[in-house]
Amino acid sequence: MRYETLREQIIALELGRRERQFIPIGLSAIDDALQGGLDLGAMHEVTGPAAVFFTQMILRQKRGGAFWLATSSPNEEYYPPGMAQYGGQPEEVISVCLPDTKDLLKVAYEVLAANVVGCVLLEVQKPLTQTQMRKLQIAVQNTDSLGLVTRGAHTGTTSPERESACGSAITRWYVTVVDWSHEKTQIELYLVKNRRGSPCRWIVEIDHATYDLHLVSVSGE
Amino acid sequence: MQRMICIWFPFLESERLIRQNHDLATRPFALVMREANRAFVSALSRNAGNMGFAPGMSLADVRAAAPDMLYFDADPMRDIRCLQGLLRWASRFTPRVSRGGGHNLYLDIAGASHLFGGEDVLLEKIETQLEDFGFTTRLALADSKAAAWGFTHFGSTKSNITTERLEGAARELPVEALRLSYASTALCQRLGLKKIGELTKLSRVALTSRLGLDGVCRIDRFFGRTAEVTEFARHKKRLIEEEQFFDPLATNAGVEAALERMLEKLCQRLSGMRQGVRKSQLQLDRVDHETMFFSIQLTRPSIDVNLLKRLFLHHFDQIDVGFGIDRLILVAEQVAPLSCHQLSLENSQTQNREQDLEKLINELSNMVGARYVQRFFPVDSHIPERTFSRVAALYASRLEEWQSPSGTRPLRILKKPVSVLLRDGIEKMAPETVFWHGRKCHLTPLSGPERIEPDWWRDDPDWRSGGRDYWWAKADFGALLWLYRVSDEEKTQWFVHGLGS
Repeated sequence: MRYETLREQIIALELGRRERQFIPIGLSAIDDALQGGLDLGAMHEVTGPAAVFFTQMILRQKRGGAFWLATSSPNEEYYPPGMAQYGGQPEEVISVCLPDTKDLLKVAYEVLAANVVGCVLLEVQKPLTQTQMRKLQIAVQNTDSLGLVTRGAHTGTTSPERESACGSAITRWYVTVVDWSHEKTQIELYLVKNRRGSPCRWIVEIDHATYDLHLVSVSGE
Repeated sequence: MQRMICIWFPFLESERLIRQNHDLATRPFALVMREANRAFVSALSRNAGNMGFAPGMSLADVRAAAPDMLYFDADPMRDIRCLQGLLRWASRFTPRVSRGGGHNLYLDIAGASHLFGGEDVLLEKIETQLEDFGFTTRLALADSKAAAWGFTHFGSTKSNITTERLEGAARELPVEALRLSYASTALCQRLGLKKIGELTKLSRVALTSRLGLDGVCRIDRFFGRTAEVTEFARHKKRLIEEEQFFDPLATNAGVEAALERMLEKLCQRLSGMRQGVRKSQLQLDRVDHETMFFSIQLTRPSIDVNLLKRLFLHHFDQIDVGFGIDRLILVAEQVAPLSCHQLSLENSQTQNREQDLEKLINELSNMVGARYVQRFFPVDSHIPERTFSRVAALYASRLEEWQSPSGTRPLRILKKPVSVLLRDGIEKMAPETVFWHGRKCHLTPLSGPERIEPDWWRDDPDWRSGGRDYWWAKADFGALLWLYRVSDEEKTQWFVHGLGS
């Protein structure tokens, strides 16, 4: 009991806030591991070849508009019709594409601190440094929006084992696709880093019609 | 008394085009107008005029004589707009400027010429400056509008006709310079009266009986005996605040304080007019004659001093004070009526959020440039990359709901599809092994093919290869790829076009 309270206090100090706010992901197994859900007013990191699935899931849970910040150099582009198909609201999304990561981070600090949208999605090519992450965390800490840093890994050169558990993000996820059909998608969620518990691994099924989540299996069991 | 300058632009139409495209300067070209099934040349470039062509010739005649001539459509409205721009420019010399028929501008410089070093210097100045703009001009200065016109079109170039010299100089001008009616001019020719001097020798009674009252009236106007009504251009009231500093400002803080004062004054003026700033520019003049400009734009008109100031402050790190700034000019370039906010009690929270979002968009647009902050809008098309458009969020508000697309579409699309090599034979229908980002990767085809045909009415270079067969496949490292196949007689190629489901 004592240990639990102590950890709460440390996280509260780190996040710079007293009351904890969170949104449930909608699957009790995952929510339990996160002690209720994803923290608001905090930064989360998502990587892996299917990171877009997870960000899409979160965008659907956390309504209230989103900012999509990305560097304009890569070939990859946000595709609104695809998002509409999975229950996202592209009309609520405002995109900022800049050639330079430094400018993009400046925009990110502004947007996070302004606290007017539910979700701020920052897409970067290289992992952010500790200082940059910490600055983002300070910008977001007294708001009730959710900060997401994604790093696409479509090239297939990353693996969950290489993702370190350090850094100032409160959770870090590694996502891959297991199976897919027109009706449902199975993805593997690997919670590499979890400030509120221990790392876990699940295989989750998303129903494309209702957007419901079903637990398929807990890996390692 | 009037001192009227008439500026005539004999090649306005062609020189306007040359200003837009300098390559035309050396080539002869003609401007063509169409009227009731007849195409004729309305204006010619200078070198085409030298080749012996004249406006009014039919297009077919000119084409036959000069096959390599270029042709453009005449646009009289743009000529007039160009002339109006020049009129605005000319208002730097005198506030009394007016545009006449034909390509003429009139400037009444009575009482203004001494500011520019005298009448001759002013004429010289106007001519050289217009020449720098690329316009050939003829100009003359005389006591009346009619005389100025006459000397411009028929006298020697750049003539400054003083009151005393008017009678004498006019004597040698042809009768046409009087702008008599066509019948009267023809009558004068028939009677052998070629010059104005010959006409003025006759008695007024004789003139009246031959040229009519109108003719005599025109002669009187020419010599300034009767007044001619001129409608001078009305100047738009520009919203400008200016501050000059005896002691140049040496710090950004000083500029900021001055800016705040100017904004307060400007907003005060605007609030009286129920108008708000939509676009504004700040000009900073340095002691060493360097000038800097900073512009801001807003989603909705505003007279909030703090908001405007904060938007300007984003640019303040670019200010190079140098040896000091001795003048600040703040211009409200675009204003619009202030819109009213409906305050509702129930959803004041969502309204606040909307307003905050608007403010944030304002701020970001001014921070990084309006074109980088965008919203998405649906476009009705079945071509995957054309189903959406991006619009600057500064100018667009959230409007439409999105419809789900017909087929399954990816979450991310590649701006330029990436070609992948298939390892196992090209005759395979579904993709199996590809080289993706330099490494071999096995694919499990999940669904497909979905055929997408190009728009036949549009020639899109990306779609020249014809219809595409789209497949969904899972890569062995855990990604979903959206691939398509195009094939012609020789080979089949695979491209990755989207990622994620």
